[in-house]
Amino acid sequence: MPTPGAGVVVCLRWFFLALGAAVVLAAAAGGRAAAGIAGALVLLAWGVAERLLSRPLDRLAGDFTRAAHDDADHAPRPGLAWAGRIGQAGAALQSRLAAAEAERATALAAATARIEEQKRRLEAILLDLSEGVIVCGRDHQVLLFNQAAVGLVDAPHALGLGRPVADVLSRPPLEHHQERLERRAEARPERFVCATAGGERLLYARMALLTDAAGAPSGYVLTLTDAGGDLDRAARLDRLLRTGIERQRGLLASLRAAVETLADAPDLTGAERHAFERVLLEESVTLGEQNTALTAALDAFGGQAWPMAEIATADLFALLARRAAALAPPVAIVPAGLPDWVYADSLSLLDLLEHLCGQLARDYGVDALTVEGTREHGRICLDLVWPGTPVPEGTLEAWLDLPFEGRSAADARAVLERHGTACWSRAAGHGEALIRIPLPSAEAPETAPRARPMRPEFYDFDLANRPAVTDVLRERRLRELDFVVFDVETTGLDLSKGDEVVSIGAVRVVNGRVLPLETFERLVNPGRPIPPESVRFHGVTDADVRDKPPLPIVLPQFFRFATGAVLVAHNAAFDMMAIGRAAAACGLAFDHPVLDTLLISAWLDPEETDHSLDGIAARMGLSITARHNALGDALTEAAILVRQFERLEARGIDRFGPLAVAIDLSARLRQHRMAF
Amino acid sequence: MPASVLVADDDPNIVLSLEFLMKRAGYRVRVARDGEQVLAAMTEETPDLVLLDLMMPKRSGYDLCHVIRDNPAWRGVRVVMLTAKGQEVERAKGMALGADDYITKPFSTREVVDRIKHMLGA
Repeated sequence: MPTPGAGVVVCLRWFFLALGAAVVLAAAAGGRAAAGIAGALVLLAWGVAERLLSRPLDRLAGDFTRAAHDDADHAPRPGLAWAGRIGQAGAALQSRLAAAEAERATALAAATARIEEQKRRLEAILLDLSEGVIVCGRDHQVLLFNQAAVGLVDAPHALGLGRPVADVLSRPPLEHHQERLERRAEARPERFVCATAGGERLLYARMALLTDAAGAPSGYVLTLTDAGGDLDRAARLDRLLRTGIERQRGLLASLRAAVETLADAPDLTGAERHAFERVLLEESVTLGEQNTALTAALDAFGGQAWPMAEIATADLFALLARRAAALAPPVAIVPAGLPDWVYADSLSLLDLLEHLCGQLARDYGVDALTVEGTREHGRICLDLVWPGTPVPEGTLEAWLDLPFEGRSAADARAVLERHGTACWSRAAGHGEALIRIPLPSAEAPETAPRARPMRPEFYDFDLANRPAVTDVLRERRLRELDFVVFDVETTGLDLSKGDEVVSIGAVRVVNGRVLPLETFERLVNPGRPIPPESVRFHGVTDADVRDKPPLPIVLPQFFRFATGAVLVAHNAAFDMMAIGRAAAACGLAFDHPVLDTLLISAWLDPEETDHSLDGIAARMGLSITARHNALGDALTEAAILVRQFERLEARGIDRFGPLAVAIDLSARLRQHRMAF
Repeated sequence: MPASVLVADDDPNIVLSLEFLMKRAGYRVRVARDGEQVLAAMTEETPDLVLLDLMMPKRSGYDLCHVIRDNPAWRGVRVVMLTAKGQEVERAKGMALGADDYITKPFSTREVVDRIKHMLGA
């Protein structure tokens, strides 16, 4: 850029130099003539400066302006006199700028070409795919799609860049699975079935999450194939097979019963014998026809089944809680039970659960439900529990036949059939009723069973006579009390020789139910190395705890979590001792009432020798899907505690006082036995 | 007086055998061919045991079982579900709704008779 300001300065410098020279000469010469000469010199100097400097600078400024705005290659014209060096420096800058610009342009062109190439390749891939592909932002706006996707939707013109994907696809499954993907830690895609917006067909969909550079979700990629035919076939085949097999069972029953009766009753009259023989003939003919029909159905409709995926019950319950809160009238959902995984079509299952909640609210005035996953015969039973009476089977069957407002299935019964299950209502005890839906169990995505160290058993306190055990508490029912079931992991088992806590996990048990969302979980820096033999048991390494707070920071947090609750642990004396020293140092008194699942177990089953957590869990048929860390163990202990309450009640112990006395007795007996 | 058994099934061919078997075992037998008939027959005279098919017109066996278990007057009635539904979850549902036994078709006639004799304490 030309710098007129600098030019003026230079001019002024010469001007004053000339003026100064004139004044000096004038002073030396003295008199008027000298003054006249001085004036002439000033004018001369002005003229020289004007010709040799100011004009060239003006021209240079013009040249630079032209170079900057009109013609980048325009070089300063020669003949710049005193401004020659500025001209040269300007020209050098100009050529350097030109080179840099050329370089940038080349790089830009190369990058553009590369992007174009990639885009062409991507387009070729997308075009070549027989699956429809739609890429969307988090807000469900379409960012990219291919021709196959256009062919799959009802209204091809409705699929466009920047338009809502809901114009072409049913929105609820997209939102549902996007939410599931974003809630999940690992990047496994979702598979599900999605209807087109007009509901004309069903598509198999696969959804993968897109993330930005920081790893935050920025959208998703949908891969779509036509499922309509397959699913329609699968549903029809399913129904045909099921009814066909049931019909065959009936026919076989008649046949077998008739044959056995004929064989076992030689004393039949002629008329009786004839009646049975007629059954044999009729039923064998019908059975043959049935068989032919089933074979034909298999040929015609055999194919794919409904896509199922494993779902965490906790996810399912959290999603249900949100939906149920939006029902009219709303229903409050309290998730309970151990975390588990079911194998299901999550959207239709959720529709079914929501439908049942809605019916319970409308017809039975239920405004709050406990939702619990319980294991039974290798299945996970989803239980909706409310205070009140069971729903009669006839009413429940009518609910199942009501048409669904959503599009995931025709009605609730279809959802049950899709999952190969049934549902029923019965009393749940303690004035409560439930609706139960058994589902196939899915293995937890991560399970690494490992052995637990045998901790030394301690019996150095008197549960029944701790200061917090007041007469009021002794009279309280176990089911009415709040419990915090906790477990600590340590650097080793020798607490008296300086082993320290590395983690604390805890979960709340209220109204006789484990509340899996009300948990406490902290890693703790033990301030000393964790020996490898301990890492083997709890998996907590030095690196895991390096930046974690020490126990005096964590303990007050745990204290707040446990306020007002009865503390429960397995071999509680060990855990109490592990936190005891640090508690005293931070001025906290963990003087809560305490229960011990190990001692309860020893009291309930004195003939058993194995009262380890794993041993009890195995006897109770609790398959341990929770992780083996402090929280995982606390969850297992909590599940054990709830079962123990049921067995204690069966033996007449339903209040805190008698239980504390019983397990103190059990502790003393155990201590004696260990001593001998 | 011999114990009374109500055979509830809409398939006449299986009813033929069941009725014959129960009579031969020494029970008084009545037959109902749909859900409403079952309730009518039970109201008329409370049987000691109902052999209940699950898939009947008008009212399903599950529904009937629930109704029977809900009525204190019928508390002592033994309910044996006899069904072509073979899924394990159906059995679980039957037992949850209060059935005393659940027999899947096809069955051994001897086994049915033995189980019923055992249940009626003969």
